[in-house]
Amino acid sequence: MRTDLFLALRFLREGRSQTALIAVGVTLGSAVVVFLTGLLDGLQDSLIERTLGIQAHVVVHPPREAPRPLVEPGEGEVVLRRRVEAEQRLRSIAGWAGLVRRVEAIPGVAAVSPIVTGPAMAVRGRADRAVVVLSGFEDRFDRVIPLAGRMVSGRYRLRGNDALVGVELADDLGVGVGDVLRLRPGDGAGQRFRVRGVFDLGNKDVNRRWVVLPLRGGQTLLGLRGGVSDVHVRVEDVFEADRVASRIASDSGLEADSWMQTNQQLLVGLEGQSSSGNLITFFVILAVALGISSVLVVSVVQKSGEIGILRAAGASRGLVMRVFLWQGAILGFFGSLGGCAVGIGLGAFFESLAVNPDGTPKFPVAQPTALMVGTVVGAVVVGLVAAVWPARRAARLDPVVAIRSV
Amino acid sequence: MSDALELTGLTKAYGQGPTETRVLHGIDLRVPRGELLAIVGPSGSGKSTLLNLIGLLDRPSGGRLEVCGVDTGGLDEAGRTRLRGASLGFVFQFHHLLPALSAAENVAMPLATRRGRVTAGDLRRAREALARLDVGELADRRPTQISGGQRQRVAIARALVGEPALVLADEPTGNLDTVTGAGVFDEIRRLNRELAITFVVVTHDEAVARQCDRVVELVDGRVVRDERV
Repeated sequence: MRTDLFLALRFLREGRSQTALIAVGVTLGSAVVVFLTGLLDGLQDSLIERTLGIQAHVVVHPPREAPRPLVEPGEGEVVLRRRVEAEQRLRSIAGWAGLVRRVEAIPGVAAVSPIVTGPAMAVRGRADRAVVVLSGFEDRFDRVIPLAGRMVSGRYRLRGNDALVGVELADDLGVGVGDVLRLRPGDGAGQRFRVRGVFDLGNKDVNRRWVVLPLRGGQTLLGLRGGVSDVHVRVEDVFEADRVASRIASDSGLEADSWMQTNQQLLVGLEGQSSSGNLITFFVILAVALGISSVLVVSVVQKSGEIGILRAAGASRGLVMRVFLWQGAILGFFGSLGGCAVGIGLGAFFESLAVNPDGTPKFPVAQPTALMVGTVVGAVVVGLVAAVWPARRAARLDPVVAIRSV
Repeated sequence: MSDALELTGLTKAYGQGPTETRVLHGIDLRVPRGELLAIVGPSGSGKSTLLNLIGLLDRPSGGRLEVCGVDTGGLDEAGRTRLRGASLGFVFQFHHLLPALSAAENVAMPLATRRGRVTAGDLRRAREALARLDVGELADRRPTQISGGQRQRVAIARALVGEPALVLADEPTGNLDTVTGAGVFDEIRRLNRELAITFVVVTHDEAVARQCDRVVELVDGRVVRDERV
C-alpha cells in the first residue's frame, strides 16, 4: 500500500470520534444533495411531462397576415392612415411535405406531425359545444402528442370518419364509443364522424375542447383540402426547443413558436426551481467543505509532533501533504456513499407518503445513477479541496518546531 | 573513506540585526565512522541546535557541514530529505512514536517513507530490528500499550532499521529511570560495537558520556572540551 494512503487510513482510524462525526456530516450533506436534487428534478420532470406531454414543443405555421395599405403616398404627399389588423384566415403551409422532411433532418428533432387545426361546433342532438379540431396522421400525431396510451375507452385509431374525443366532451354531449358526432365548422354544413375512442389527457379544459380526426377528415371539414395549417414538432430535449424553432424559422421563412415562448411562466418557474435548488446545494457543499477542513486543521495541530517525526524519518513535504489530501478524499468518498444510501431511502419514503390511485407517486423523486456518481465524485473533489489548506499547513511545518511541540 | 561528520566553522544565529542571537559560534568537529560521541553541556549551550543542524532538520547560518561525505550546503529541501532518509537515524528524548501505528509499523516508517510504499518486506525487517533490541514480542502493540523503556527501544529500532551510517540521539535516556536508562544505553553501545554505526549522543548525564569513545563539551555555543575517554 502507498505510504501516504496507509498513514491517512491510520490517522483516520486513530481519531475515531472525529472521523465518525465528520463522516456523518458528509453523509447528511450528501443525502440532502441527493434527496433535494432528486426531488426537484422529479418535480420538474413531472411538471414538464404534465404540461408538455400534451402539446407540441414547437408549432410551425404560416406568418400572420399583415394589413395592406389601400393607398400609397406619392412624391411629397402625406397619407393619414388608420391601421386595421388583417383577419387571419386558415391557410395552408406551401410545400408542407418537403418542410416535414427538412424538419425531421434537424438534429434534436424527435417527431414531426403535419396537422390541420381550427374551430368547429360539435353537435349531438340538441347539445352543442365549441371545440378545437386537430387532425393528423395516425402514427405521426401520436408520436408528438401521445394519445394512444391515454385512451379510457375505445381505441386510438384515425382512419376514414373516425373521431377521438375527451372524457369531458363525451360526458357533455352524451356520446360514447360507436356513437355518431356531427362537427360543423363556422361557415359550413358539417360532417358526421364516428367516435372511436375517448381519451383523458389529465386536463379538463383540453378534454372538453379537443376533437381529434384523421388528416383527410380535418382537411375536408375545415376547407383545406391537400393542405396543413401547422406542423407540430417534438424535440428530444425540451430545453432545446428554442434553438430548433429558430432553425426552422430561419430555414423556412415560416413562424415557429417554441413552448419556451408560449409558456414563459412555466419556464420562469422551472428556472426558479433550479436556481433555488442550486443555491441550497451550494450552501450544503460549503458547509461540508468547511466541516472537513476544520476537522483536518485540528488534526494537523494535534499531529504536528508526529508530522515532525515523519519528516525526520525521511518523509518529504509532498508525502505529508498527500497524507492529509487522502484523508479529505476518503471522508468525501465514504461519507457520500452513505449519503447516497440515505438520500435514496429518504426519496423512497417521501414517494410513499402520497400516491396516485394507480399507485404512482404524486411527488416522484428522480434518482438516476448519474446523480449518485456525480454526488460521490463531487464529494471527493470537495474533500480534496477542503484538505488543501490543512495539508499545505502540515507540509510547511518546521520539523524542529514540530518535534519540540510534542 | 570519508568521515561520518565534518563541521567547519559552523554557526547558527536566530533573528537579524540588533535582535540577532548567536547560538553556535564556529564549531569545528570531525567524527570518524564508527565512533560513539557524546556531546555534553549545560542547558542553553547549543547541544540540541547542533544536533538539529547535523540531522538536517535545520540550516546553519554559516560554515560548512558534511554528512557522510556530502557537502550539505548545496542541497535543496528534497536533497536534504533524501540524505536524511538514507543516512541518518534519530532517537529523541521522548520516543515520539506514532500512536496510530503498531511498534512494527513505527519501525518500518523510515523504510516506507523512502520507498513510498509499505511492504511486507519492510515490516519483516522492522520485526527483525525489534528482535535485535529484545522487544520482538511487542511488534503488534501500540506505543500506549508498552512501557517507557520498551518505547525507547522501539524508537532505537526505528532509527536503525534503515541501516543508517549515523544515528543522532537527543537525551535518549533522559526520560527513563536509572536502571532502564542504563539498559537502553547498553543497547546503543552494543549496536555501535557490533554494527559499527556512528552515534552522536547529546546528554546531560556525565556517567553516560563517560561510557562513550569521546566527549565534546559545549558552553555558550563553543567547544570547550574535546577529549577521548
